[in-house]
Amino acid sequence: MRVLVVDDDEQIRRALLINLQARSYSVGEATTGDEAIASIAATPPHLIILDLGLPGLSGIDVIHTVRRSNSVPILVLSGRTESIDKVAALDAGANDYVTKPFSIDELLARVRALTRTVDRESVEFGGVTVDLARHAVTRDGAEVRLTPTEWGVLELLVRNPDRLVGKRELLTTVWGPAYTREDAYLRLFIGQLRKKLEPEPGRPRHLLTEPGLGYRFRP
Amino acid sequence: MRTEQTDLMKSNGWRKAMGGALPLRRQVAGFAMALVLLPVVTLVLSTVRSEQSLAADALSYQLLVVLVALVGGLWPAILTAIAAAMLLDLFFVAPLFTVVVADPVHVVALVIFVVVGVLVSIVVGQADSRLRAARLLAEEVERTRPLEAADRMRTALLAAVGHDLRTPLAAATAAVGSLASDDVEWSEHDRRELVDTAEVSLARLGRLVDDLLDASRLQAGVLAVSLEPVALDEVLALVSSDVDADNAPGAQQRFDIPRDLPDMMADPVLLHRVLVNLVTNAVKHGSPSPIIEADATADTVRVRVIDHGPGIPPSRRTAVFEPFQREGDVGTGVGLGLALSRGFVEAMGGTLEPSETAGGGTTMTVTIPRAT
Repeated sequence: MRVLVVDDDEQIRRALLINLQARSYSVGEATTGDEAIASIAATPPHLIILDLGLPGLSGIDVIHTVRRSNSVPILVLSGRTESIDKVAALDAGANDYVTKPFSIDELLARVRALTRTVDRESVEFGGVTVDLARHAVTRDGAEVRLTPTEWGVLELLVRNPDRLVGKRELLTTVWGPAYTREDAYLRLFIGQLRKKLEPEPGRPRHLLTEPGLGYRFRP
Repeated sequence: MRTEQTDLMKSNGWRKAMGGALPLRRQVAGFAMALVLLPVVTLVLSTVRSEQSLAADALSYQLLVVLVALVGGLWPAILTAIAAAMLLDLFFVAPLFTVVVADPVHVVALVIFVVVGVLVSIVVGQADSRLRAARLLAEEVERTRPLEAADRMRTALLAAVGHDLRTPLAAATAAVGSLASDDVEWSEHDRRELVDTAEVSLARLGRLVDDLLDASRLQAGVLAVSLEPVALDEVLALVSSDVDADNAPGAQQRFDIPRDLPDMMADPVLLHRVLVNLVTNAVKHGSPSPIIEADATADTVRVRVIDHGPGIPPSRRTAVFEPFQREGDVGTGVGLGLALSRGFVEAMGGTLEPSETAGGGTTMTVTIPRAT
């Protein structure tokens, strides 16, 4: 599994390199956007960890360029904390966003989530079983009835455990490509799913909100 | 601005119904126009008067009322309407030279003159107040433009400082966090690398915090300066080892200092930081081996840090000493180095000036009083 680390700070690259290599990833490094593009073309990675504030070609530019031809997962690692920057990165096609400073364990969990391919028959969490093949959900053995839309939202989330699923991705996948700004629908359906599936709907443990960005399923 | 607007609104309360009052200047012009044109029109019309011309006479006066309303607004228009109705009656309606407003036809004419005048002046007043509102808005926009620029500047600056603080913090946190995590058995080499990462990053963070604090001290005028006789070569001995290894790898300075250079009256700590900054800057801007020269005048010692890099264009010579030259989160260094250096030198009673190196590059000259 090859990971490309793109950051202009040598110390960040060194810390990531050591950590990723210790977990048996093969690691490539780039310090500028142009280097990153060249490296991706030469040796396609399985995941890109990308800083946004790069000299020359910016991180957002890199995402746009990569996305023209490539669906490799991109994890943005940036010091920008404004949600407008995060939304811009996700809209450009990034898959997840970690803010500096970050916990190395959290970062590695996100890396695992982005590189994991889930092709399971069923997903279980907190007494709930989601049968992906039969489109059926049980909670503590009893069947839970979901509307087709609720099922669509739940399926996309549980098929991507630990991964940030952006609002736009949810809307366009479940509702259709014309729906990109209907955040209220999402809040409504996530609320209903929490009521049906979470032990404490007011304090969700599995269907988590990433404020401003989207939702994350934590098994 | 805001008070002006509220005042305008208050005084306009009752006038608003009429479409807003025109400025006094225009009202005066309207009155003047009425006073001049009423006799003129009357004179002209009476010389060409005939039995069939009454309709044309009435319309001429009406035109005058409209013109006055356009120029002067409500009150001049009403005055003109009344005067026009009377003049029409007096000079053009039989019996001539008598004012008989008792005739209902003339009352109607008078009312129509006045109503038309009022209606036109309402439209004129509304158009005028809209125009003025638009002008006020335009002025407001013009006035906030520098503020917006300052806002953008502040945002960019925050991004730069945020980036420079977060990046080393992130590297140190990641390194220490890795060492603390127990899912990996670290090799001795990796452990050393991680510790080194944390050390280098924390040192950089420390320097940045120092610089930011010093910048605020300089700005607040509370920088502590303790002057004493200082020999340049003692300070320079420390500079070489302290030139920021992170920013200026492979730095190699050459010194050209006369043996009999007199001492300077300086704060050795501040002077040391100034020289480290200047040398680091020279190296960072593409001159791996800057030269440090010194000489003395009757009452000062001059230290020159000479590089052969790309140089500073004359138009930027002032700007480079402004703090926070870098904007956004690209690259490193918020651009405090030269601003701090000049601040330190001036706090020691000296000057720091850039000039062009013969053959290209920048020469930074630190001039400090001699110790006596």
